[in-house]
Amino acid sequence: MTQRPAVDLVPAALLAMVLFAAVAHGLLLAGLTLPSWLLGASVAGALAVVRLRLPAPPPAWLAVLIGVALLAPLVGAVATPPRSWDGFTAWELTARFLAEARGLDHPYFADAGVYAYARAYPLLQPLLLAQLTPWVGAGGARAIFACFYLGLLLSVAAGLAGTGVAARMRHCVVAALGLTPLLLGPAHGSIDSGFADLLVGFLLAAAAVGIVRDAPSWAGLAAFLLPLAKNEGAVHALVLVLACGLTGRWRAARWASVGAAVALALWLPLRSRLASPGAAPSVAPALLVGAGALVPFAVLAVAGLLRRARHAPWWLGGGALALGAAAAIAWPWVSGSDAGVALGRGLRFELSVADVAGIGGTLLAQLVFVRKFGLAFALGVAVVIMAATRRGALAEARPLLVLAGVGLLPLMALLLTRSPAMLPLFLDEGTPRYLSQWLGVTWLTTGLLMHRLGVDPWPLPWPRRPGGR
Amino acid sequence: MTSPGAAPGLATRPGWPVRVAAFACAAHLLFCAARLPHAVYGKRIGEITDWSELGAAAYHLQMAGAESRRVLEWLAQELPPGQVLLWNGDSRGYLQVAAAVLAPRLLVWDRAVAPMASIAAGRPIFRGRAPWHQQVPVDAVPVLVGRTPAAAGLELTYR
Repeated sequence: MTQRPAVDLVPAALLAMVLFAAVAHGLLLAGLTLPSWLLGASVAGALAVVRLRLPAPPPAWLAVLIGVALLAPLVGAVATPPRSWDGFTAWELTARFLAEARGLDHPYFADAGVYAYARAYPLLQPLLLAQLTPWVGAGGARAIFACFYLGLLLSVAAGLAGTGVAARMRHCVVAALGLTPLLLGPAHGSIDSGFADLLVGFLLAAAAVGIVRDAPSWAGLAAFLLPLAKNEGAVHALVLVLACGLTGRWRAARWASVGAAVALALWLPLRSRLASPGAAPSVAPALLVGAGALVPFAVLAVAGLLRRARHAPWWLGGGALALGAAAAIAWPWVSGSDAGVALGRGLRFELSVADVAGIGGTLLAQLVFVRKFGLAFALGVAVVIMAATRRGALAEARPLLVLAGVGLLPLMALLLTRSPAMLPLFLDEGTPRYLSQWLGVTWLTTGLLMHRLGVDPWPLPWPRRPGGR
Repeated sequence: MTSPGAAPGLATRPGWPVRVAAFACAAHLLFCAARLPHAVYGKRIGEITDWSELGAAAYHLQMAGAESRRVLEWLAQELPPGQVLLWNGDSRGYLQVAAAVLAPRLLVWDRAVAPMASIAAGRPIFRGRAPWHQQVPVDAVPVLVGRTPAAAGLELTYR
């Protein structure tokens, strides 16, 4: 009898989410309702496939610190519906109607005349909330946000442990990430705000573990879930495929391509139906399935070409650009999503070029906004610069830097192609949340580099050795 | 001042940048931990208290003006379950809050409903009159309007 593979807690949880999301989206595509036991069955299914390997318990000081930090947002999540705008008016509302209808056969989803501002938002988080609601109530279901937060921390800890970083450094980095003001404070993007940015941040951190360890399970599972979590998650999944390919993480790249392809093939036709309920589809669903399944592999091919392109960079660069342009032209037509509309504006040169300086300045100000991010990004940039001056110090973190570097390009493109009327809102409200999605990746990179540089994460005399060795 | 797992040869004697990075990391931890009592606990308790005292409508419409709050609180009280309310105007802004506060009751676009229709989205259309609109017939069909610009709030008209 074949022994089940032993996996860490996070990939096991991701596998359960993948099983749940795949079956749920399949049932929704088929016009069926979701059984209330689907999430439980998915967890049981994941545990039947793999053998759970629990992480070593954290030191007492770290457990107490994270417990104290998490308690307030956990109470805040359970006590009331989300008190942040989009959390209340978009994500939670979709979850409420999903819980009521257990599917999409409800006027909120199926009648174009019914007001539903977030009808075509990705469904993973609302589906999870809706599944838990019959069992633990709407308030209890929101405790899942605490699980996303712990998943984010555990992903970064696992990424550092897998690359040989000492326990003391790991614990300090996890504490530094866990205490990030934006995650804990009651503002937009916090744990109990009800936004899906925390889920995306968790999945991006898991993806980062996949690329830094060339771990196909982490990369593939995260790439599957990202497009189902938030609109920009589709871009993140493609960025993951590209970064894995560009840095030669081929095992992770292949599985990330498969994960993203299956997710997009499921999500694009469903999204098309939700965006225009009752209307005849402007694009055949089969075409959407095909496009969704092909794009990640096209990105993987481009990465492969670019990696071998030392002797013909211009030709291959032009090919990649042409492919990108073709995708950008097709995307708005196919999806009509925010990202697609923004890309379309970019291709028509409707850029807010005059705002470039303002955008750059605001982005920089957000990166060093200590009341939101502490010194997370400032320290991350500092250690990257320090490591760049030392031979070999950047090697381990290079895939993460490629991931973050490529990943920030779509954010810049999104900001540059916003209409002048919408730009201030995006800069003030959206940018911090988009940046918060990268906190796990940033701290994973920072921890790796601090380890390589010999930075003591706690140089103060008291307490003497937090967490020990 | 070296990390136990530091790569050999890279950290025999830390220079000032390494020490600055170390103190920056510690400063981040201390700063973020020091914020817990006020920014994490204090502000959140205040938010939860406000929500409990004001209710969802008034909590989210604090910046929208008294008229918007009065309209939405009246609708939240009077709109029966299973009926729909017509809406019009700017779909962004406070209409988003209205849809969430009134759920599971639905808002249906005024222009998608025939003038004399009594059913929309398979449910009866809400009829009624706000107490401060005495000149309007009792069985009028209220329409919730999202004002332009979106920040201008909500108002109630009738068809």
